[in-house]
Amino acid sequence: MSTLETRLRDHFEQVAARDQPPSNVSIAAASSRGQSALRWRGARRIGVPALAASAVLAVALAGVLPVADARRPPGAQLAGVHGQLNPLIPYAAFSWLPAGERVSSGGSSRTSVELSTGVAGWQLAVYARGQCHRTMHAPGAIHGRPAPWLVCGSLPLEQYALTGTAPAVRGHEAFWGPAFGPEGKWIHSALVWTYESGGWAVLSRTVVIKHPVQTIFRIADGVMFGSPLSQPDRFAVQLTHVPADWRVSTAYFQRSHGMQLAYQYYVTTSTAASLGVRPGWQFSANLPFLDIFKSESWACYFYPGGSRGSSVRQVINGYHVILTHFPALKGAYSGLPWEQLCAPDADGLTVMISSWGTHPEVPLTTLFRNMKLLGLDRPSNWTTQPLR
Amino acid sequence: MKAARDAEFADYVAARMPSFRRLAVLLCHDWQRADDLVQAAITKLYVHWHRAKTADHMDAYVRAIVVREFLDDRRSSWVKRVALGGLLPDAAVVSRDPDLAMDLDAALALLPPGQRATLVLRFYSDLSVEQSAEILGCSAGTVKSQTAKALDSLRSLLGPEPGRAAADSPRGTHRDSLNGELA
Repeated sequence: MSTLETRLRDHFEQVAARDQPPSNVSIAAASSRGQSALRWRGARRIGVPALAASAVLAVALAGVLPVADARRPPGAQLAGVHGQLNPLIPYAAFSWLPAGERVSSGGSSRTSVELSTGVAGWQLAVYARGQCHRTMHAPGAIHGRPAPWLVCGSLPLEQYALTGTAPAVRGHEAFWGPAFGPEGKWIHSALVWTYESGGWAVLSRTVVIKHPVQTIFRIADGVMFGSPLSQPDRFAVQLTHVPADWRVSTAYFQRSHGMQLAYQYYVTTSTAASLGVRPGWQFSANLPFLDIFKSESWACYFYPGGSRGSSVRQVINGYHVILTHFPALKGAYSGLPWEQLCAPDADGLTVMISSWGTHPEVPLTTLFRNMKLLGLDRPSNWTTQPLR
Repeated sequence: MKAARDAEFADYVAARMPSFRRLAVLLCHDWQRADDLVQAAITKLYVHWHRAKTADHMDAYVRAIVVREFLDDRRSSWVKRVALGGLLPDAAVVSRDPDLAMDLDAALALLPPGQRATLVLRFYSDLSVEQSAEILGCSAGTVKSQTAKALDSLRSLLGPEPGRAAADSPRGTHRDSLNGELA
């Protein structure tokens, strides 16, 4: 090796070993922008119609369609009861948003709801009763940050430093709580308030706006909880002949045809334990989770074998599918391997059905065989009952 | 409630952030730009998270994103304008400084982005020619020739007496060289 090469190696090592200045990188911003990119991609996939048509449909459907959830978990109702929310119907809705803003995506689980708007990136997180607790020490906190904290989950993004008292929201106590991002960086200011005893809501934004204080309070004042403004999620596919105790644990949606079209959702049972090293992960061993989007030919991969995975091709109900067995990921999902059935074009949809574990309750091929495809461009066919 | 994607992603990126930033600053020679680069790279990582998880070596996958993002960024017209208008005067003649590392740093800053990335991959990340080629999206032969050119350029910039020769190089030569690369 030449002297210059040696010098280069030494130089690189010295530079790399230097103390790093405080980071300006925000993992939360990456997630948020990444989600936006995925939503945009998803919107292209799903073929979001013109805004006007969406708005007309949204208004019409919000008022007319019934709340149909045949698989509602025991105790889970439209309103939050004993910390249980309905994953298929967002528990909260905005009654007022600034001009041009509208909900573009969101998700619901039994313990929380998220709604995001498209322009200023307003984000509302609503946590079911008992989901959050106040503490002087947040598990994910960097030492030296101010206390107290509101901890609503183990992720840093779900932990809010309560840095000051804010004016009450509809008579409920409120705080200023800049959300705490990784790397010790405050990512944005948030308004944190109790909407009912033991139930917390957090409203934040991701971009700078004019009159932020007035706007944030006007939005917060208008948030409706368990309100009839919420419409149920719609599904472009339906799994049929599934075990009676299957439930959707979490569903994420994007706006499409003026409705909340679910694009990712997870199945669980009342007795299934969630996988992973932390509570709240939606995956349950040997139960499926689904990704549904507009068909794209490149969406499915064939793994010839080896450390990445091993695929086989099949034809089910006339559709080509790729069934892949993946090895376990180190340190994740209890070290379980997983498998995925991917249909690149099932009546205009790409359907991915995945499951962690080696013994799925129902084989993925059976699930696909019994799946009703309702048509991506036929919103009137979409269902509010993804499991039957 | 956050998607499992977010949980895994946040855990992984938080753990590997110092490593990403080290790589980025070696490429960019500027912490602010390095952070911008990492920000852009991890955003792409988020979008492709499902695919990244199935990669043989996720760190290598991310390293490829960072390097390609760096090269793409350097190719943009915006960067051309900024580089010529802002970076060049500061970078060209700093070698009066007796600190050899600074001289090497300055010389590295003058290399075309592709050559700099090649050196970082070969001599910092310790990748083979073939591995570097995969990340850079070129042939192994190109990596070899880029490495050779980069080392030649450095020798030329540093001169026989490291730390002084670059000071003697006509500044216009550097500018012409960089103009030629970026144009």
